[in-house]
Formats: sequence, C-alpha cells, structure tokens
Amino acid sequence: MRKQDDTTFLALLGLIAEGARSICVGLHITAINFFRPSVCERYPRRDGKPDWQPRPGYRGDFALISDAERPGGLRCIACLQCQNICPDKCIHITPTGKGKERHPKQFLIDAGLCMYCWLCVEVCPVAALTMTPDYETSTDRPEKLIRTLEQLRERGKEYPEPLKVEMARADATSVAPTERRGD
Amino acid sequence: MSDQSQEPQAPEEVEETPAVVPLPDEWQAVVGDLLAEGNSVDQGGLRRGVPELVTTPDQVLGLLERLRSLDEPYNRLTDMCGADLGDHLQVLYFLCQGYTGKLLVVKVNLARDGEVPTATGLWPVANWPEREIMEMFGMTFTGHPEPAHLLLPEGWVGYPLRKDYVYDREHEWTRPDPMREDPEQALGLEEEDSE
Amino acid sequence: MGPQHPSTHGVLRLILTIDGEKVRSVVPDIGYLHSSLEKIAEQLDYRQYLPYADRYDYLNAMGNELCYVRAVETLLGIEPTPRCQWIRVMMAEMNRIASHLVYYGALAIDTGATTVLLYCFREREMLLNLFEAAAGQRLMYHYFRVGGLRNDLPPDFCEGLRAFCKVFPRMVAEYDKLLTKNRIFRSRTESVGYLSPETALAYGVTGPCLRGAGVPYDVRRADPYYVYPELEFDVPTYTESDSMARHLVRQEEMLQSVRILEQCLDHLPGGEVNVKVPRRLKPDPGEVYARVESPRGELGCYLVSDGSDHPYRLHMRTPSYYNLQAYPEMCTDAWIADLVAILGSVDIMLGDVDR
Ligand code: SF4
Ligand code: SF4
Repeated sequence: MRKQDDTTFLALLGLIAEGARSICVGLHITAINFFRPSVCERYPRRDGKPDWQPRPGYRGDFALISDAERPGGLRCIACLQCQNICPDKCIHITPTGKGKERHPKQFLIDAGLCMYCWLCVEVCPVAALTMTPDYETSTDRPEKLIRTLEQLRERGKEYPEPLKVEMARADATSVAPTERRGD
Repeated sequence: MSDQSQEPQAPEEVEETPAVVPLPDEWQAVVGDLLAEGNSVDQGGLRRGVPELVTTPDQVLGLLERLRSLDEPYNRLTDMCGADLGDHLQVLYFLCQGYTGKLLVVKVNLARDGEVPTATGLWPVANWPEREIMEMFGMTFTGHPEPAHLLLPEGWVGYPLRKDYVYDREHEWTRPDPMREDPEQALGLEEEDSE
Repeated sequence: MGPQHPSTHGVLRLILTIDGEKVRSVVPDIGYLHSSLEKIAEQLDYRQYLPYADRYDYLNAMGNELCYVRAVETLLGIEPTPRCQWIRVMMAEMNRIASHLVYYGALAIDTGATTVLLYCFREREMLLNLFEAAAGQRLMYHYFRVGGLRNDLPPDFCEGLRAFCKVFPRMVAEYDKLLTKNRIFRSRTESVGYLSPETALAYGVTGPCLRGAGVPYDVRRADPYYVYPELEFDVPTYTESDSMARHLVRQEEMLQSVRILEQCLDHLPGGEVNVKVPRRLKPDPGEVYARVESPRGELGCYLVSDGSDHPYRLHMRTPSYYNLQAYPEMCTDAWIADLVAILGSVDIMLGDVDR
C-alpha cells in the first residue's frame, strides 16, 4: 500500500529539507517545554518536604474507626455486611459477643485481593470501616498484605474520623478554585 | 421502521414497554413470508423496542441472508454471544442496519450439544465470536474455518460459561507449550535445516 | 512476536508469516489476559459487579461503567437525575480524552518518538487528578452507581476542568506540530495500514478506525443516550483509511470532547445526583442491550435477568476485540517495521480483547 517513493534528486532534497524542518519544529517545541515548570516530583522526597499526598477521598489502605466506649474499642458491630458485599470475598470477620456487645474478635482484610472498590465502606451502617489516603502498601511478601484487627485498629487511631468525600454545592461551578498541582 | 428507532430513545417508554413487544406492522411485511413458509421464525422483543426473531439452527443462515438482502439491509453483525438457558443453549446475533444504529436480534435455540452453521461466510467478523462461543458453551459451528480455542488454553476441559460448569483444578495447567518443549521444532527450524 | 514484546500494548502474541521484510499474514493470538469476567457476573449481584466493569478496558473505566450502569438501569426502569446524567457524560468524555492521550503517546513511541508520550501524560495527569478528586482512584474509578454516582463532584472540580479545557486545545496544537506534522511520522503512517470501508463493515470495525475509513458512525449520534442530543459536537471523519486518518480522527475527537466538556460545564444543572434504589436490586425477568461509544468504538452490554439479584447472563461487546480481528487485513503486504505502528493506530486494549 505504500506509495512508490519518488527518487529523483530534487524530490530527495525536498524530503531532506522537510525532515530537517520537522526536526527544527520539534526542537523548538521541546525547548518551549524545557522552560515550563516541571511537573515531576521526586519520590520519596529527599529534601525533607512531605511526600506527595493524594487528594481527599482517595481510596487507600483500610482502617477501623475506634470508639473507646464499645467493647474491643472499635465502632464496628460485626454485622458482617461488609464481608457479604465484598465482590472478592477478601474480608473475613470472626464476631464475638451478643446484642450490643457484639464486636469483631478478628478482622482480616486481604489487601492483595482487594480491589479498593469502596463497597464495603459504603455499606457499613455505623461508618466503622474506612479507607485512608495511605497509598504506600507494597511489601515484599504476599502474607504481609493481610491486614489484621490489630493493624486496622492502630491505623484507626491515626484516622479518628471516617474518610469523608467532599462534595460540591449544587452550584458547583461558582466555588472558588484552590491551588492545584500540575496546572 | 422509522418509528422503531424513535421508541428506544424516549426514556418514559422504558417502564411502560412490556418485556415482549409485538413486532410493528412493517415487520410483518419483512418476515411475513418467512413466517408463512412454515419456518419456525418467532417474534418477540428485547426491551427498549429492539425487535427480535427466534429461529432454529437449520434456518438461521437463510434468515440472516434474507435480512442482509432486504431493501434496508441488516448488513452489519455487531455482536454475537451465547447463553445457557438451562435445558437448551442459545446463540444471539446482533445485527445493525448499516450505520444507522437500528438493531435487530436473531436468536437461535439449540440442544446442549447442538450444531449451528457458521456465519463466517456471510461476515468474517463471526470468526472469533464463534470460536469463543464454541469453547465457552460447547456447541459446534459447522464449517468453521479454524475451530480452535480462542481465549482458553488448548486442552481446557469443560465449557466455562455453561451454568453447570464446575471448575476442576486438576486441569488447570494442561496447556501444551510447544515453544517450551521443543522450540526448534515449534519454529520450524529443523525442517529448514534438513532441506 | 510477543507475548511480551514491549510495543504490543499488553499481552498479545502475533504469529507472523514473513517473506523477507514483507508480512504475508498475521494471526493475533489472544487470551493471555482472559479473566472470565462474564462468568464472574453470574455469581455477583448487580451492584457488586460494577467494579469489574472497570476492568474490561482499563483506560476507559468510566465508559465501561456507563455502559453497564445504563444496562442495569434500563432493566430496572430507573431514570437517573439530570445532574447525574450530565456528570456521567462529562466523566465519559474526560475519560475519552485521557484514553486518547495514552493512545497518542503510545503511537508516538511505536513510531520512534518518545517525547510526545511525556507531554501527553502531563496533560493526562491533570485529568487523572480530577478523577482522583471525584472518584478516589486514578484508574479504576468505580464512580458510577446504579441510580446515581458515588458522590457529587468535589468543590474545585469544575474549576480544574475549566482550566484543563482552556489549556488543552493549545497542547493539542503543540502535539500536532510535534508529531502529526513531523515528516518522519507522516511517512510512517500515511498510506500504511489501509482499511477499506467494506472491510470495516465485514469485520464490524467501529470507533475511530471506522471514522478514519470515512464512515461517520458514532453511537453518540446513531443511538443517542443521556444528554448527547442536546450537545453540539462534530463526528470527525477522514476518508484516507490509513493509519494517519485514524490518528487524525482521534486528534480531532479530543478537541470535540473538550467542546462537549465546555458545554457540560455551562449547562450542568443543580439538584440531586442519586435516585432512590431498593437495597436489593431485583429487576424483572427480561433482557436489555445497551450501547455507548467508547474511545475505541461501540461498546455494548447484553444483560439478561431472571428475576433474581444477580445477572443471569452478561455479555459485553468490546470494541477492541472486533477491531483487532480486522488488524490482519490492515497488515497485508505491510513491512515488518510498520506492524507495530499499525497496531498503535488501531489502539487496542488487551483487557478489552481478552475480558
Ligand atoms: S465494619 Fe461495618 S459493615 Fe463491617 S462488620 Fe463492622 S459494622 Fe458491619
Ligand atoms: S474495597 Fe471492595 S474488594 Fe476491597 S475489601 Fe472492600 S468490598 Fe472488598
């Protein structure tokens, strides 16, 4: 399907000239971009500034919200709704206690299987399970990806309130902009 | 036929439309003689006013060809898929009227190990979907040019999309890999050497 | 070639028959990413399957969700609120731009220009940041819900999008100068990978590949959904039917999407985004076929319900699957070196092919 290339000397010269022009245009644009502010960031940062933080509402690693007044110190009532809705079946809860005392004895989330879909957080009737903006979850062994009750509780202490998704007012277009990265 | 295309766009009609819509009158003219000829072409309808024809394996090719040669031909096969309806299987052909967006569904009911003639002669596009349906449902498309597995590994046991399929871990890694066993032969290098 | 060749856009193997440098035949060998998403659907309920819908075409997660959600809502007889419809359209168009930007950069890499990819990803980053603010994830959004959205837009979303709409056309002009007008790129793509409209019809090719062959078919126009009838945009077509035509269609489409986004921002109505849906979704028995236009072509979702709370049968018509089937046709008598460039211009997504 390729067109027969014109091989006369003049045409060849024209091609070379055109190619050279393209390269000049390309270099020109690259030069323009060279002087634009850089959008890349070093990770992890070595200059002491905080690492990149995802926007609020980011679905990262899990946490169980603590509540000192309840048995087990957790807000969770072990109703198993999150376990049931999880499409991957990666939550495993061992409940204990009766009635108001009901709380999880063990709470396992296999973060390696999880697809961070937010369904379990959405379904929780008492907002006891949440996701945190913590995205640094990689480890060297798959077993380390299984979150236990202890880990979830510890992280819950860092994040006392469930992750709220900020919402715009209905007239969202008139809200003042905030500083954005990469613009 | 023009009012059919209007129907699906009106959102209020979605709730009102019953599950099965009788075919509009224009359709009687189109498939009327097919019905009269004693062909087992039934009419039904998807929701949202998409017409639907149901037929048998031995008549499907004739029907497809007929639909292709209408004055306003259904000449684009957009999609094909299979379904397991318990006691029998089904092959669905989604036809479009050129590039107008008008859709028609042809359904073929067949026994669980039945055979359908291949539509690759009419539309080359049917090649992959038919292979996929064959490996997923275990029916046969007679006359298919290359009835090999498409998505599943060679030597897969069972038909995964059937309702009664049970995953058998034993057959998990049975794919023979000629490249691993004898790369030279797989690449045909030996033959060339001997020549 | 493959299955791990760096330029095969995923895990694809091409079995080539070659005669010197000329390609005699190409047989794509697919299935490496097959994950049986259709079978999974039969074991989950309608709500649980939504995150899986993202995973068909992972560069166009919003579009897939849109298609699936639309099918379920039709089955249930739910009509989303106006604001929800506008936001959904907006998200789908943003995702179209993001997806085309990946395509743009990938094609540039395939033809030997690396810089463009970096610039494309810089602009894509702006979109991904917006997605992240709205949906909480950068690639697998799971933002749509049956009957609405996960949440309304975050406060500074519209401003960010406006800023993007303002700078983006300038950027496209820059890419155009840098890549499309480049002599080397033009010789690599012009009159290469010819796909005639007849072949496209026979192979069910849709999307930019079809519009590059001169057929102005776009589901957004042929079977309009949501607010598309109210929107003004052109369906770009080129009749050259080669890689360059497909490339130009996509480039033009990005600008058209920006146009749509600007209209969306102007018209975005207030009000609720969610309608009340029952806790357990149990549609009446029936079946539905919903179509949307994804960046790669016509995306269809065939959904059968038997009255229980999980789909009886779900089938997605994924555009890459059908476009890839026509790929061998485009490669007849091509040079080996052009294969990858043609593949880049078809813009397949292997998650979409293998499902
Ligand atoms: S985390 Fe919430 S949904 Fe899950 S068991 Fe506890 S209370 Fe129930
Ligand atoms: S985020 Fe989704 S996949 Fe992960 S544990 Fe929750 S429900 Fe399961």
